[in-house]
Parts: sequence; structure tokens; C-alpha cells
Amino acid sequence: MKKRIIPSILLRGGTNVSLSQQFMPWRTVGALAQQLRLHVRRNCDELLIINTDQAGSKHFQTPDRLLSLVRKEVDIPIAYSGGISCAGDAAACINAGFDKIYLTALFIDEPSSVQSIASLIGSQSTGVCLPYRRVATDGIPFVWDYRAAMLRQDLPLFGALNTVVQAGAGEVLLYDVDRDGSLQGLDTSLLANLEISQIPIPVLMAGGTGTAEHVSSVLRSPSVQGIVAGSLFALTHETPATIRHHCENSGIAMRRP
Amino acid sequence: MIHVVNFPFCNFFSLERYLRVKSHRHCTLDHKSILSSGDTILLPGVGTFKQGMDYLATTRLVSLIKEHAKGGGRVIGICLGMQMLLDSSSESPGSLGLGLISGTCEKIPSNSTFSVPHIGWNSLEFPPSLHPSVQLLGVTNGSSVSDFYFVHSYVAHPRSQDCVIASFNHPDGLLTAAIAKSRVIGFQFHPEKSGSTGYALLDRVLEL
Repeated sequence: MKKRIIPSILLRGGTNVSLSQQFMPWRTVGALAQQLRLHVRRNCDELLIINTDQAGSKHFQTPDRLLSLVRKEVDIPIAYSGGISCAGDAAACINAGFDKIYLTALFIDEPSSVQSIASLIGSQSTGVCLPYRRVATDGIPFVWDYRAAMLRQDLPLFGALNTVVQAGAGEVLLYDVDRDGSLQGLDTSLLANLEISQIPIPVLMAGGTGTAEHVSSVLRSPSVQGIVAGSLFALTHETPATIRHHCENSGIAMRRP
Repeated sequence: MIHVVNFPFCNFFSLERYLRVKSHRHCTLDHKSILSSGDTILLPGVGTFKQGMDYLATTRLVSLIKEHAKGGGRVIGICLGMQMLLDSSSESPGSLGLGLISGTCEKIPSNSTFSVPHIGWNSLEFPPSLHPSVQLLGVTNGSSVSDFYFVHSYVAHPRSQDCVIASFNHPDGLLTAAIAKSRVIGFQFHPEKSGSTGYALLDRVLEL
């Protein structure tokens, strides 16, 4: 399997693009149109749009401008996350031109809903994003509920990961909240457990990527299929091409554009 | 003219973008559409086999698509659209496919080095005996120069290997990535989501 480099675009206030730190919007870095064109031109492997305006919302709605830009600018795979609360919302995203959706709040509240969404749009288009934190630096990771800013100590990350698989999701994104926006490196302490767990669906990791070496340190693991990063592409000179080149030189199978 | 089936949950807008950018004349297919043998039907698809076939049945498109293929018209299926060209799928027991190419779809075997769903970029491998349709894929030395984007859990098993025009690597061996029989062509991967390489492939297919 070829490993994937996936830039994330965090939307805040319509189509403004923001960076985040510890899962909180931090700094606006541009507009969606400009960011979409940049990432498409750079031949990234996929794109992930995270719509923070919709996070935890009861009434799902995506800005018309977002949908028209996706239809106009994007000829590469693109996923959506933010506020999806039922199968109809998920289908609307797919209809609008997205290839995959990610669920977080809905999975935390009602894991069985993943199955109903996967049965409509297919498990391959249904992903779950699990933000996580630890009580202590070297402690057990638990799912982080961003709506209440609360560590869910009833949801240990690896228990939740098994639930994601059983619920029928086709992919999972493990998002380290404490490392988010830090550029200090991905959470390599998860890798041993991931390898033992042998999760049968693709696993992506996010939070903390600051260099190409950070990426290769994680993608060397057979248990991780890709990384998602935002600040890396906004605050450093790295591009998907430079990271791909570094990973290939490290013996990791990457896409040939 | 290119007639696109607009499933209620599918990659319609991705294909529509390609057709618009490349200035192809296109419209949405419905049961009243009048097709000539020079026209093309494009079957996209995201979702389950049953959802897709139920949509074709309720919109009365099954016989229209079959008649078009029978009359020598071109039919191109992408992802689920390709799987529906076959007879059936173990994803949806009891649902009949279009049967334009004999065969079934089965779940991709999963193991520690190959996660399922198969999501991401992969190269295409070509059979040693060059099927005439292989040329449209841009063959060099048995495998594609560029990778293409896959996102699927089921894979086609055509009854005749002669229909397989491209495969992808799996630890258990090669699995089907593209099929063709006469003017019926299917791609398991998404050329409309594979950047300029994918667009070039679609150009070649539509110029045939």
C-alpha cells in the first residue's frame, strides 16, 4: 500500500482558513479558494476539510461557497468533517463532490449511527476522527470530546478504535490534541500498540507534524497508512512532493504522481 | 453526447467537473433519453451495490443501459459503476447487476499488510497479452507510470480473464482494476480523482 500525505484545511467563519493549536482555532492563514488551488497544484494525495463552524451543530449546513469551490477547483480526493449528524447529511456531502466523510461527535454520542451511514454511502467513504489526550504525559490516551472540552475517561482510545471497526467505518484518523499545531512531532508512542492491535482498516495520524522526518518516523510503521497535517504546510517550506521524496528515500512506498 | 447517470449519492460532480473542463457535451441520463450508438453512458457510483442497482431499477434505466450496450454503444463504469456492469456482488446478495460483463464482486481479502477498504494510490499492472483496450491506459513495461486513486472494499472477478485489462497488486496476487468487453469499460479506480493523469486517461477512452 502506498502511504498518503493529506493536508487539512480548517474552516472558520465561512471560507476563512485557520490553523489550530490544541484543537482550538488559532490563526487565520488565508481563504479557501487560494488554499484549494495551492494543494491541488502541489499534487497532494488527498485533502481534508474540517468545518469548525459546524462542529457540534444541530443543523447541518455547508456554505454554498465551499461546495461551489470544491466542484470548481478539485480533481483530487477530498474528505469533509464537521457537523454530520445523520445518513442524509453524509449523502449530501458525497453528492456535493466529497469522496469521504469523517464523524466525531456522532460517533461519541451514538456509535451505531456509523453503520447506518456506511450502509448508505459505503464503508469506504465513512471515516471516524478520534481526537485524544492523556491525563499524564505517558498515561493512557482517552478520547477528547471537544464540545465539552472534556477527556472521556469512559472511552480509552484503543477501546474506541475497536468500536470504530465494529461499527463499520472504513478508515480512522487518530488526532493528538496536545500535539496539534505544535510542529513537535507525531505521537510515535501509539505505534507499538497499533501494530499489536492489527486494526484491519486504514489508520491515519494527525497532530504535531513539523518536519519530513516526523512523517517518515510514523509511516515506516505498517499500521499507519497516512498522515494529516495543517500547520506543516502553512508554516514550513515542506510540500507533499518534498515529504514524498524524503519518505521514498527512507524506503517507504509513496504515490507516483 | 455523454449521458451521465446521476445517482443520489455518487461522484457525479467530480465527473461533471472533468466533462466541463474538457468541454465535452454532456447531460443527465433519464429513461426518456434518446441515445445513438455514438453516445456514451457514464455510470459513476459511490455506495453499496444494492443502493446503486435499486436506483437504476426505480428510474427505469436498467433496460436503457443494456440496450445501448447491446447496440454497440459505449458504457463506462467507474468504481461502483464498474461493479454494476457485472452480474452480482457478495456485498448485496440477491441484487442483480447489469450483466454486461459476466462475473461477480467479492470482498477484498484483508491482511496485516493490506487494509480494507483499499483507500489510496496504487499503480496499475497490465496482462502480458495486450488486450486492445489496454492501449488506452498508457502502458509502459507492464505497469503504469503514474498511480491512480482507489477507494473500495469489493473487487470484480470477471468470469473470463480476457476481460481484465488492468490489475493492482495485493499480497494474495493481482486483483482487478479495470475491465473491458467490446465497448463496455469499467474502472475500479477513480480517473476523475487522479489529477491530470486520470483526466488524460478519460480523454483517451472517450476518443476511442
